[in-house]
Amino acid sequence: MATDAGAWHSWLDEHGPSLLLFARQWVASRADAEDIVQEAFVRFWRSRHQAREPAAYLYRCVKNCALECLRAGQRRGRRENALAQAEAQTSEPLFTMELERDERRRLVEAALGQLPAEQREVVVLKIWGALSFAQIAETLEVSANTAASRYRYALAKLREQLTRETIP
Amino acid sequence: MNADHDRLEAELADMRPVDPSPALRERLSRQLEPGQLVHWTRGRRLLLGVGLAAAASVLVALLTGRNQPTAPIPGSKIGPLPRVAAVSPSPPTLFAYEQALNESEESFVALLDQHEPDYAANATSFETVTVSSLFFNDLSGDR
Repeated sequence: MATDAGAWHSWLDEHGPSLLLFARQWVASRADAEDIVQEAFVRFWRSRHQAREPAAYLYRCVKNCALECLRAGQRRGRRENALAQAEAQTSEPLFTMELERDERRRLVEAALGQLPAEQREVVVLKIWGALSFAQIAETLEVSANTAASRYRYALAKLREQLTRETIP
Repeated sequence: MNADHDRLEAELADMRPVDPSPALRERLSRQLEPGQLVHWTRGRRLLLGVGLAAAASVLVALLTGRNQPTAPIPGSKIGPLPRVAAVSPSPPTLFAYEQALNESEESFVALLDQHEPDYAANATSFETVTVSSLFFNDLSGDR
């Protein structure tokens, strides 16, 4: 168990950024996303041995925690939420990029934000989570074919959106 | 179409999501390794130092105080306490008396006689002296 004690570090190193990005599909604020990742990661770590597909289970924990957080936050007014979300989106970037590509980052973030939630989560899991369609299917409790088709649609929309934004 | 997707995928994959903050890692450390993360803050060090010093002084006081003879307090008027009569080392127990009585009346009387002179010879009368009686005697000038 001695090696196990520090093993969570490598899981966090490998998946931390994409977990945070995944959590921010539901909460715009980085601080809220970190709270969700913390809660989810602890849950995952304590019960990971029961999971057939640990990576998929980890992302599923994040989604479950995010949805719980959203339900708990419904007591707050919608207006307050919308304002907080807008503020967080403008002030806290999703990606780390060099300054000269900052404009492109904004475009990509905006394009991602316009995707339907079920397509966006597949893109995040596939590209930044590096999960296979089978793992994505496990995470989202859909079939692998559904995951793959959502991904194709999402990429098509992103390409269209980014082309439109780049060429006025 | 696939080539476009590949280029877009490559571009997206090239973008690195923001890293979790060090605070998140620390919070996770506290939850997942509760026994390993002890912050030796200044306050904790100070408390530990004070505790150790207190324990050491108690230990020193115990060690040095144990072998010192009890010295009379200078100026106190308490005189040497009278020696208590040394009673025969092992006076007969109640069981011994019962046994003697069961044997015969003579044995019982003999046992009584055997120890009676010891008490008479060794026992001395003494006055019970307490600090409070000394104090009141001193006040009234009796002593």
